[in-house]
Amino acid sequence: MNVFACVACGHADFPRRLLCPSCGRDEFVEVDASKGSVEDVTTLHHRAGKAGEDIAYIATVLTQAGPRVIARLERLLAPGTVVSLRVESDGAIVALSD
Amino acid sequence: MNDFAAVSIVAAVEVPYTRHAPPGTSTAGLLAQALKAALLQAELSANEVDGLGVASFTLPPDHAIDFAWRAGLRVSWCMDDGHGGASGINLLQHAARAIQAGDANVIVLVSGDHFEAADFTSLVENYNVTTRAHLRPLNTGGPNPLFAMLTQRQMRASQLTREDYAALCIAQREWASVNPLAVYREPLTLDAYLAAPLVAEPLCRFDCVPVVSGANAIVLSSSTHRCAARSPVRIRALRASYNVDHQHGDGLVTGLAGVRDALWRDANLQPADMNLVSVYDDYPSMILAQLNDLGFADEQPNLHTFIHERIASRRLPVNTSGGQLSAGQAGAAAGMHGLVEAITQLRHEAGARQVDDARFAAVSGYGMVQYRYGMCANAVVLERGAAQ
Repeated sequence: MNVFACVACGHADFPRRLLCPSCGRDEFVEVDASKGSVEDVTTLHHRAGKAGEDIAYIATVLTQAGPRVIARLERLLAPGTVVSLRVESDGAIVALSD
Repeated sequence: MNDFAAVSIVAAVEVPYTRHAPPGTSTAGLLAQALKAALLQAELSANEVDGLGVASFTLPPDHAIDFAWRAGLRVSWCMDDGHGGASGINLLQHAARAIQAGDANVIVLVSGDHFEAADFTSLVENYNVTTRAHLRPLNTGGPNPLFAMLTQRQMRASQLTREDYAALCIAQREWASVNPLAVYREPLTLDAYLAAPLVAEPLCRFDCVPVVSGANAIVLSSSTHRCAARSPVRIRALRASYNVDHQHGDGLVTGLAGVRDALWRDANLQPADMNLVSVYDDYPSMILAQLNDLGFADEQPNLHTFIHERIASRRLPVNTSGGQLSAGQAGAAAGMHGLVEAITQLRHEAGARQVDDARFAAVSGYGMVQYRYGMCANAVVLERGAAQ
């Protein structure tokens, strides 16, 4: 799991921008963001247009690199829990408790 | 150039929203119904219209100009707006300036959507590149989990409970009970709210807008046009603020907080002068965020008191149509719904839900979720004009 830091000013962001919102430059380097802490968690019960319950846990995770990401949890975790982050082949960000 | 005196709003209509539209319903057909009803209300013929603005998620592959052709309109000003919950006020801003500048004399703004089940799923999964790349793989089913977490943050920051959000939903349902166009009109009780199925905790079914099919339209003209003589509504001030924090904040403060001083200064009015407010209500937490940002809670000790003493009590009439939460969310029409309600109130044509002596109204728009919350916020202050 990586986020993107502006080469010119160091501003880190996720998702990747076209131009840096801080200085306007367009060169970025990938920065490791494989660790973070859970800020908010919601238990998702229902999705629009879908019948029946299909429980999922969706979280806001503050990465150690700075940006916040939206991630799926494998199980319900409390805010403040330290997690590892990885990106699955379909692009889903998954957070696992250490 | 903040003076909109040269511009009048001369019609505001709603094509009845339906939860399950009859076979044969189409987005273009709903927009055409809205256009026809708006022209009828303004006592205009189609050949007097020289400007058109359209907001719709499901009109594509057609665009505004295709709709203009299909509706038989010749126009000198034409605009598509893709700003969802902020589209109504965004279109209003641009249309008013076009009339001021002389680019058009009579502009119709239409918005609406008809969703088939697959259309809605496609919309929420492909709302933008970020959603498609980073939220769709999580199978979030749209923005509900994002606003569930935003609501949690607001609950922590302002010591609010689910009962407080229930009070907002119940208050709007009471307004809806006397709005024959609202999709949900039966009374809502606290017990029913608390017993409702959870969607994304803490949000329950009543915190999430019901998707409907429908359309709205408004008409603007120069203030010297004959159609502005009967019952004009004037724009006192309008401000917008988009991408104010680049999604780096907590989403509890919208762009309205940064433009409110300019809005009220331009209007030469204060929140206390407003007879009613229409605020974009995709979720109850966003009602509070926008009202707080606009200054309506400034005199209150906290948001809990504001909810119960001002909104639930109806001392401040908020979303008098029932809002999207009770009237329904007809796609992009949601960005115009509150505007139409405020105009209807200021024209004293709101029937059983009419606010007495309504002279001033504030309307806000909000939306376009990028990754964690909405990017767009805008607001307009409206005044009942004098008939000539």
